[in-house]
Amino acid sequence: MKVHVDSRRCQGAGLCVAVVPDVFEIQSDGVVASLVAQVPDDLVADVEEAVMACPMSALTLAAGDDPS
Amino acid sequence: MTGLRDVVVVGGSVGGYRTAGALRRRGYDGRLRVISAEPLGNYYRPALSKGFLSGDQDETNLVLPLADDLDLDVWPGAIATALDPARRRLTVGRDGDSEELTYDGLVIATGLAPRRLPLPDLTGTHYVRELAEADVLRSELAAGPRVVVIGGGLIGCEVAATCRGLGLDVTVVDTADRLLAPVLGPTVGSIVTELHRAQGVHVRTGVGVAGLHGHGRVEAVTLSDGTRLDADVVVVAVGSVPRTGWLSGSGFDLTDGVLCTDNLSVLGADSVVAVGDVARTRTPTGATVRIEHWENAARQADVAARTLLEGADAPPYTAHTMFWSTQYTLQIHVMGRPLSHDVLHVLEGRLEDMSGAAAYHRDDRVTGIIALNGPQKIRAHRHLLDRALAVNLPGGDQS
Repeated sequence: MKVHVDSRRCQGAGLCVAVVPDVFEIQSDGVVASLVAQVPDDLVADVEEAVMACPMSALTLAAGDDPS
Repeated sequence: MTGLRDVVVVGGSVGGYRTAGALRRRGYDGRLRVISAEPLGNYYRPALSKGFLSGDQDETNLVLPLADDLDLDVWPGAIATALDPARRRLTVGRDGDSEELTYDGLVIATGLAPRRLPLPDLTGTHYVRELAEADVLRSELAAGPRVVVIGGGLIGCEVAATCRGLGLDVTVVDTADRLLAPVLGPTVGSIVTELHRAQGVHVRTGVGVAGLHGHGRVEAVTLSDGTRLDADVVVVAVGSVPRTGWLSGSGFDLTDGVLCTDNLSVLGADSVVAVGDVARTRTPTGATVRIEHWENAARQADVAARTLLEGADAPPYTAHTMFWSTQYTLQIHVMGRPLSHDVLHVLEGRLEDMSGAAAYHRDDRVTGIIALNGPQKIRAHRHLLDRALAVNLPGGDQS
């Protein structure tokens, strides 16, 4: 699974970072970036929680092995 | 599945739209109408006290676009005025007309209205709940007014911080002895109060508002201690009340919200759920709780959708709610539901340095985790929620 952050939508509320900081980080510009190309299997449930928590619906989790 | 074919969602904000989306995701393919009092549709309300007010954001980047495949029939500018759950009839007003809708499933997501103070109706007095209100306030702030904010809760503090960011002269008035104390307790309240003072806000705590004065337009605020504050703009942010007036004939228990089971099914009706700020839910202990936070509405939506589709056996809402606030460069994140008199134990760092994390504790249970300028610290400590704290924690009792 891979997660995509829509940086145009992200408002930097940081709830995803609160849920799973191993995957998300707030950058110096205040916008969240994903730290991983692939979401480790043991963090998929946490990322799903972060997707649901995101106030801007800026996160999407999708199947796929290609990190591009 | 309960075989629903005609669901009506009353309320066009995060709870309503997210429930509509969850219904579709869970396979509901019947008719789906959204009754939305506000014209804009789904938008990011938390920005109204922050980025929208400061001018950093405009309407276009507040709108939360809906997925194309939701197949919603949105009624913008429509207001639900009555409900007869026995006959499954919803009365809706739109464009001066009133009509009765039938439904076989109903989602109550009407949220909150700002609590109104009995003040004279003077231009320049603002409440910040809806985009249209925030838009007027924003345009008045552009003239460089002296601002008095009545209420030092989350919204009041955020509005004050935004106004200071615009270089305005700002006073915050609150009856509590510290800003935010009724929300986050005295320790964090003191830190936030000092932050606002350091940023140049005139903080007047432990004092109420006696009246507003002016001729057509507000000119001054008088306080209960006799102080007179000159003001060009007054923002009233003294809490909210659930929007349940339209349900007064429904027979539902409307004591501070709509009373629901723990899976958000409204008591006293079949195939009616409530979600978000307006929903008062029963907890396993028999107590009831109503939560006024954006993320809670987002999280409850899937539970509400499932209950509507699966009926009484659908699982309860158990998630730990999060909320956040941004004031100047301070970011506050909280997970759980702390009360102001819960005991605060520092877990790491120094809160007075605007960093670190702490646990709120009540009756041998951790009720909340707070992190200052570091949301990742929530993750590090959330496992403590609902547990007893070990007594030998570093930091000890701070409150």
